[in-house]
Amino acid sequence: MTGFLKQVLAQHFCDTDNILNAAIRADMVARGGYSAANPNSLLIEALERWLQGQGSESRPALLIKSHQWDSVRVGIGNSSGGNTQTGAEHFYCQWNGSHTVFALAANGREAQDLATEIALVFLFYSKVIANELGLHRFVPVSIGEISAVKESKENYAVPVTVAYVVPQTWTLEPDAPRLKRIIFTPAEVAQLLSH
Amino acid sequence: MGYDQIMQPAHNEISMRDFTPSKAAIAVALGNVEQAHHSDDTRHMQPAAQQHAGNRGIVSGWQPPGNTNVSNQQPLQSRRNPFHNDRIS
Repeated sequence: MTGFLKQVLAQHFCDTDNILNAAIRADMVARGGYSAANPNSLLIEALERWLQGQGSESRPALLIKSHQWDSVRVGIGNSSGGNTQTGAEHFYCQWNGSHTVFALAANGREAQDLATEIALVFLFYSKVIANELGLHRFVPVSIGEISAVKESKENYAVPVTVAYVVPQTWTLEPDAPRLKRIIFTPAEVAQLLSH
Repeated sequence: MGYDQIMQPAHNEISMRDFTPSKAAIAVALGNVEQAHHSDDTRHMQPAAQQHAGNRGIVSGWQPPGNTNVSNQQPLQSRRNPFHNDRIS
């Protein structure tokens, strides 16, 4: 999911014509456009990797953090039916998960603009993202307040949180067919009857 | 006016490492996900699971009011009301 969000954001910012906010667009143009190879442009990275480097760069960044996934039981014992002929049992449950993208910038207003930009991207494409990833929900939850960042004193951050529901289905199949011990061949039946 | 000329806002300090979103806000945004599973979207269910859901009304002789995902439900007017007692009325 972190990789997917990184890809969505990279695809959005790689073409400055995609950018909704005029100030962000102008800033990106001035920085030479978004590119992973451009050290002056926006940085889009997983938070863990950024923390390892403790990047103290002044360029804006979108840092992606994953949160826990909660299991949601559906029905009795997650059971969703079975096949009486094969003995297979079907199960279904859901995982509720969330991610936060921190819009990081040296200026609070820029961080807020970036946060609004990505929240709108997630909002507008929520249906498409849910369909493409096979999710039951993909919704932007909140745009947080502007805050100074403990890990990077010269930057401000605005957290944007998205939540999603991941469906999970599985099937348990018995090792052997249910009627394995019942003999149907006429020769074997005749042999049994002769005893 | 570029970003450099804009005054910095008053602010709190957050730790990105320790940040955890509000569970209540997530719950509100997601809504009733189990209900979503039943009513919005059954395309991820196994065929047997769908059959199971469809058969639920026949097996028990009762269907939850307002449940629209049951594919073989009876017409509304002929559905037995489990809360209605003919003897009293």
